[in-house]
Amino acid sequence: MALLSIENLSFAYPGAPERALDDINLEIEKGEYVVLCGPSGCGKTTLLCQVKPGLVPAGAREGSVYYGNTLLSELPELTAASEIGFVQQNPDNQIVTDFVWHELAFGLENMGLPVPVIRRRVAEMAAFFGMESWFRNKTAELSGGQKQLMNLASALAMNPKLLIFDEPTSMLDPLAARSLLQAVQRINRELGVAVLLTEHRLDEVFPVADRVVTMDKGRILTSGAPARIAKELADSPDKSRIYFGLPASVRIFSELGQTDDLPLTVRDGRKRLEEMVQKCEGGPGTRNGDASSFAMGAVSEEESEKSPGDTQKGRTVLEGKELWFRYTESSKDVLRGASIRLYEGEFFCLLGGNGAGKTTLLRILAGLSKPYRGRTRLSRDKILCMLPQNAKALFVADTVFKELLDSSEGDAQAAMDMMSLMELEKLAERHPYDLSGGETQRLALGKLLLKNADVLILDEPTKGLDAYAKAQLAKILKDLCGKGVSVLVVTHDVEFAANYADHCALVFDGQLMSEGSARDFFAGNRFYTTDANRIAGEFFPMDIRCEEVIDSCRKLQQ
Amino acid sequence: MRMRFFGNLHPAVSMTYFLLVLVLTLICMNPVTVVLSFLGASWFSIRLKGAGAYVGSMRFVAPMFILISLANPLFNHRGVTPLFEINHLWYTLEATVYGLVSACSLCAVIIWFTCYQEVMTSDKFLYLFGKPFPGTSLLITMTLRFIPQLQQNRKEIRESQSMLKEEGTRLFQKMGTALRNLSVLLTMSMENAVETADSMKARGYGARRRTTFHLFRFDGRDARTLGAVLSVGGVCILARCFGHGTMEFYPRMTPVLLGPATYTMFVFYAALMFMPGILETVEELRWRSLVSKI
Repeated sequence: MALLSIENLSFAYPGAPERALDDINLEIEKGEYVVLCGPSGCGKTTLLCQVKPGLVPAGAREGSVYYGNTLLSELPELTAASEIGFVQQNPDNQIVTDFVWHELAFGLENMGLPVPVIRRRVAEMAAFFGMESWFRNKTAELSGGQKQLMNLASALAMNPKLLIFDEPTSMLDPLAARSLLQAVQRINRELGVAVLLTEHRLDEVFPVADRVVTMDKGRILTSGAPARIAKELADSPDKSRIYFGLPASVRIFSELGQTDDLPLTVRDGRKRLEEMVQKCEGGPGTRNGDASSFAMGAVSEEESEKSPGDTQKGRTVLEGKELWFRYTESSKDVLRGASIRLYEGEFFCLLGGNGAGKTTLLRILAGLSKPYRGRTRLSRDKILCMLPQNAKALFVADTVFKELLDSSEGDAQAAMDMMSLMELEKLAERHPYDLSGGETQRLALGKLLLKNADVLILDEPTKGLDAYAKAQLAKILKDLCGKGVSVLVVTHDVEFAANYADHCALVFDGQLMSEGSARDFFAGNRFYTTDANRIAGEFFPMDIRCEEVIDSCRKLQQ
Repeated sequence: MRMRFFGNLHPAVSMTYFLLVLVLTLICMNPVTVVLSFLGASWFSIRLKGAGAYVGSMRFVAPMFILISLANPLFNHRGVTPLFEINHLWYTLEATVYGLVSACSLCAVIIWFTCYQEVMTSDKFLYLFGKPFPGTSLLITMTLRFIPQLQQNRKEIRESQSMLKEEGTRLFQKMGTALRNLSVLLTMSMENAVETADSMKARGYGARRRTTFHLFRFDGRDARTLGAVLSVGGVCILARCFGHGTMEFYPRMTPVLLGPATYTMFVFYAALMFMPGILETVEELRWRSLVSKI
C-alpha cells in the first residue's frame, strides 16, 4: 500500500482560466525519495500544497488524495500535522519563535505533549543534526543554512512519515544548499522518512533520488528512475528547460550520443571519459598515460592562441585600492588590503566561500559601508547601482509595469522598452511579489537600468534560479556589457561564472587571491571549479564548460 | 563566557530572590539597611556586567541620588532639629537624613532592577508567567522574533531604495522617502506573515491546547539556594514585622537599634543582600582553583 496516492487530481485557482493541475496521478511509497522537477510556474508548488492539509488553497478541485487508506481531507488535524511535514522555500518566514530550542519544540507544543517528552525529542533532533553548539542561540542570529536546517529539524521532530520540501535550497548558497540536501538524504536513508522534494539543483539530487517526476503546465510528463529520466530528457528532440539543469556528466555523454547507462556523478563521468579516451587511443588499457598527456598537450597549445583577447581592456570604471574593513573596533578584519579593478564593459565574477568578505567588498564598492583604510574610485561619468540580495526591497508598486514606470519617472515609452528588454511583456499586469525568482531579478535589474546605471553590482543574482533562468539573466547581462555597462557579480555559483564571466577572482581571507580570465581561473583550480572541468580536467584541462568538453571529445573521436 | 551562578538558577528561585530583595529594600527605611542594599546591588551588578557598565549606569544614578537628597530638605521642612536657614525656611536634620535614606533606597532599587533585567531574560519571564496564558506568551515570543527581522528588512529596504532615489536633504523630501520605505516594509512584512502563518498551520497550530516548552530544571542547587533565600529573607521579614529595621524620621528621629534583635536582623539582611555577590565570587574562585589544578 502506498503511503500517499494522488488520483486524477485537477485543480484551478479561483478566477483562473486554466487549470493549475491537470489530471495528476502519483503514488509515493513508504520511505521513497521522490524529486519533482519542472520549470518555474509549472504547478510544482501547487501540487505540494494539495498534499499538505492546512495549506490546500481555495479553488475548484477534482480527484482525490489518499494518505494510506484515508482521504487526506478526513485525516484528523493532529495526525496530518505530525505525519506530513512541510518545509518551505524561505528560511526566515517559517520561523515562529525567538530561540532555536523553542522553534524545534513549536510543533510538539501544538500537539500538547508534556514537557519531558518534548525535551527528549528536541534533544534527539539537535543531536542528530549536530545543532548542539547553537541550540541556545537566537533564531535571528543564524545563517540561512542553519535556519533551513532548523526548519527541517523542527518538522522532523514531529515524527513525520512524509516530508515535503518546496525548493528548500533556493535561498541558500551552494555550500549550505549541499549540506541541507545531505541532511535530507540522511533522514531518508537513516530514518526511512519518505521525501517529496522540488528542486532545480538537479545535479545534487539526481544521484540520490529513487524516482524523478517531471512536470510541465500542470501535468506530469514522466516519472521513473533518475537514470531513465535523464536518458528520456536527453533523447527528447526539444531540449526542455529541465535538461539544462541536469548534471554535467549526463549532458556531456548524452550529447556524445552515449545515452545508455548515463553516468550521474562526477566520479562515474570521469570513469566513462577515461574509457572513451583509451578507446580512441587504440585498444583498452594500452598507453593510457600517454593518452592523457597527448590530449593535454594538444588542447593547451590550442588554448594558448585564444587567450590574447584578454589583454584588450577598456578604461577602468570602478576601482578599490587596498581596502581594509572591520565591523567593530574589536572584531577581526573582514577585508585585508583587497584591491579590485573593474573595466568598462567587463563581466567580472567574484567567487569565494562564506565569510570571505565578498559581500562586504561589494558594499564598500557600492558606498554602503566605509573602509577604515584604502579608497574606492568610480569614474565621474558613471552611475553605480547595486542589486540587493533581496530584490523585493526595491519594489514599491503593485504591477510590473507601474514598477518600471516609477523608475522611469513617468516615461511610459522608456518603461515599455525596458519591459521588452527584460523579457517581461507578458507579466506587465502581474504583482511584483508574484513573480518567479528569475523574473524578480530581471524586474529589479530593469528598475536600476532605468536609473541609467552603467556600473552594476549584483549580489548572488542566481540564487534560486533554474539553469534556464540563469542563462536568460546572463544573456541580458552580456548584452548590457556589449553596450558598455560594467557588471560585477558576487556569486557562489561556479557554473554561472565559468559560463558567462569575462574575468573571475577568488576572494579569500579578505583579499583577491587568484585573478584571471574565467578560463585561466577555473582551469588553474583543482577543486574550486566546474563539474565539467572536474570530469574532463585530466584529459582536457582547459575545458571548463560542458560544450567545450563535448567539442574536445568529438575531435578526439574523429 | 563568565562563570555565572545566579544567571543559571531556575527562574522561580531568581524571581523569589528579586521579589524579597525589592520588598525588603522598600519596607526597611533606615540608613543601615539602605546602604547594605545599595552595596549588595552594586556588587551584584559589577559581577554581572563588569565595572565599566556599572560606572556607566552611575552616570544616571548618581545625579538622581544628589537631586533627591537635596530636594527633600528643600521642600520638606518637618522635623525639629534646624540646621540652617535659607529664605526664611529652615533646613532640618530630619528632612536631610530622610532625603539621603530615600535617595539611597531608590538608587538601590534601580540597580537591583538592572540586575533583574540581566538575569530574568524574556524566556524566563515567559516560563514563569506564560503557563496560564499560552496564547499571550506565544504572541510575546513571536514579537521578540519579529523585531530583529523587521529591523533587518528596514535596513535592507533603506539601502536598496537609496539606489533608486536620492534621499534628499530637505525635511519634506526625507519624510517622503521614509513614507515610501515604510510602505515597502509593510507590504513585505505582510507577505512574510502569510508564510509564517502557513508554517504554523503546517505544524499543527490551533489543533489542541498548547503546552509551553522550556529548558529549565529545578535541581538540588536550586532547592538549596531557594531554601537559603527563603530562610534568610523570612528572618528579615519577621524582624521587620516586630518593628526592627525601621525608624520614624518626623518630627524627631527614633533610634534604629532596638537591642540585639536588630543587630541579628542586620546580619541576616546583609547576608541576603550580599548573597548573589558572594555566590558569584565563590563560583569564580572555585573555577579558578579548578583551572589551576588542571
